[in-house]
Amino acid sequence: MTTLRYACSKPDCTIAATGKCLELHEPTECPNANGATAAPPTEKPASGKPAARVFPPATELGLKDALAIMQGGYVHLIAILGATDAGKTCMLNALYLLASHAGLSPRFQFAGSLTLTGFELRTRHLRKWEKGQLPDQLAEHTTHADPRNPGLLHLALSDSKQASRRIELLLTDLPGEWTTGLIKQVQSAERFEFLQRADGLVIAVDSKRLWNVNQKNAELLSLEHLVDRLADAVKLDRQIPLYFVACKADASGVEIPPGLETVVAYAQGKGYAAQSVAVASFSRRPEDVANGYGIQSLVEAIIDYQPPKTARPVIRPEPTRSFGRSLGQRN
Amino acid sequence: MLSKVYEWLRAADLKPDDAMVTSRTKAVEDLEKKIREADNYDLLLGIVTAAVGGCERLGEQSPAFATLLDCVRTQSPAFPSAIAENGLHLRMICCLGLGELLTSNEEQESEADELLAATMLVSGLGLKLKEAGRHLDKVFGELGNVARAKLQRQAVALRERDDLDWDDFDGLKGIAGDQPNFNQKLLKALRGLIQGLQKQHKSDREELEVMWWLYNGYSDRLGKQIKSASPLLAATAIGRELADRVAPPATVGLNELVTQAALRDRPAAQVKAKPIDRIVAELGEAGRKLLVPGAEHVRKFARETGMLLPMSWLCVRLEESQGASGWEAELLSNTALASDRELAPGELAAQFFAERQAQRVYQSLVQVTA
Repeated sequence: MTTLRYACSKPDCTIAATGKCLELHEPTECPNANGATAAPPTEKPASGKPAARVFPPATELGLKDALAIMQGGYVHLIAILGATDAGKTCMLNALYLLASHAGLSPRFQFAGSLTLTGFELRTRHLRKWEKGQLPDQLAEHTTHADPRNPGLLHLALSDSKQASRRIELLLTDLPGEWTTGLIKQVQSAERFEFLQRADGLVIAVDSKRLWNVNQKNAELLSLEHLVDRLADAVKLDRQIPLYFVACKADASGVEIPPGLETVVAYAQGKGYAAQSVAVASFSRRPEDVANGYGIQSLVEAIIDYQPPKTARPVIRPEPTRSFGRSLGQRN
Repeated sequence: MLSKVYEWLRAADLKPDDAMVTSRTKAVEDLEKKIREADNYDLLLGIVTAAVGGCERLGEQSPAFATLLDCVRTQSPAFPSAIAENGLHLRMICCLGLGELLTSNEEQESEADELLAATMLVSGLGLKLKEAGRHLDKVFGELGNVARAKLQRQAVALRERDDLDWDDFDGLKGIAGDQPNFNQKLLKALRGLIQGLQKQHKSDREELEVMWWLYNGYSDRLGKQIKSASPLLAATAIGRELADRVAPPATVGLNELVTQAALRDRPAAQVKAKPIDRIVAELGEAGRKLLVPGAEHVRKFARETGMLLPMSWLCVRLEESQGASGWEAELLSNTALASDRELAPGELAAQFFAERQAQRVYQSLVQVTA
């Protein structure tokens, strides 16, 4: 990727040196900036010395950082909601680990990431096994420095089904408090505005809670409230498909937990294309349920999503003479 | 269409801020103005190509891309020029510019810019598969609907039967003694009357031609009854020959009539979709000639603009190479259509109809300014 260097017509502006506009404009939008020149991202190594591999330092991308990949070509935004400890971050980790060791082949190949450091930080718990067992806590609790904007992880895949087309994914890693906050307080709906651009919305559910008779009803009610908030407060576009993902299928089984289909039907009743999926991001019983079970099919469902066919809108006016009138519409 | 700036820009920006929306709104207005003021259709066709197929189809060195970039840079001087960095963002500006062109002039129905843009959009988006993602597909869906609505308004206005205007004749009574003035007014009145009659005559003739063609079911180009041709060959002939009998633009109802004709009297098994490579084999030489434009400048346009006239591009490619192999990869790179893409006879007829209409519009407009 090239780095852009800006110059400013204002003599005091330091944008050329610091990249920061004196008047706090975005460099690409500043009316005083008078051109951008592409500079090489790194200097070439001295002759004879091997070039060191440079990894992007970002642990996650902000909305402005995402522009660097979004402006050039289409990016699939996959938003993931769910309560704390539902399994959101584990899904991200599982996807990253599957991609990084050809676990998504033959269809997908890992094609790069601008947030490698972020993925590695999130998966470090998984690398510390004790006595051959996975740790109790698979991922650290997600927190955000910016309480108003989501953090995004980036993953690029090469898709053999589409002539090796590069698929860019931006995945949200939101703290569970964002979801519970939305259920409790309608005022927090504003910070979910970015969801309108999502290609798919994943709602992670701890399936163990749905199999527990003491927790099931509260969990289902909470999910229905979340659907209400998305529909009424966030006003989420009805064309965005919803996936209710029953996580931790290694512990509770790969069948959809009881009651989740009623939530799916509830969301469908609100006008959404919704479905339920079971995943096991990491399996404590790999002989029964494979590690990463359901992750690839979930990603494929979002990338390949085809909205239900709808009738073309009625186009007016109709001619006054009979000839040329639409066969399906009459005044 | 300017109300869509925020929404459509989101394909390339999760959360465009107010300054961005204001700046791009001005860029879109500027682009529309430049399209309208251009003394030829190169910019318009370049922008339609970029909207349908992406800015990569234009290339960074093309005049249309330079104009597009200029519209953005007038508001944001530091906007980078590389397509790799801004291709999707600029493509959305193209979509918005075309949307604005098609909706900002509701009163005037016979503008040539709108007619050419809308016919090319309908033709170019006709076989377009769902592209990379939901948001982009939604933009294309909305833009296609705007184009169809514009064509419908123009089509209805073209065929509306006006009452003949006798007022000019009534006015002659008072100036019967003033011979020079009388003659001048009489000529004007007669001209208006004949123009009105001619318009009605054209509409009536079109109606009769189409209805009799459908009634006879005989293809001049194939030299046989439609029902005796294979379903796909019949579909292409229906699309081509009806498009020649209908003055562009056609109404939505006429488009439906074309699709319906391709399915009439055919059992369900015969109207199943088939991949393009099998369609090509089934059409043979007779079928591929059907969409080859007669005028050289239209043929050149079809050859160079596969994104807007994909089936015309294929027919020209097959005809000029006499069916030489290797067309599948070329089809993909020139039109973004894979040779295993399946098309049903109704779909094929509608696409042939749309492309032939677009060819005719291009021929009539570009001929004037060539």
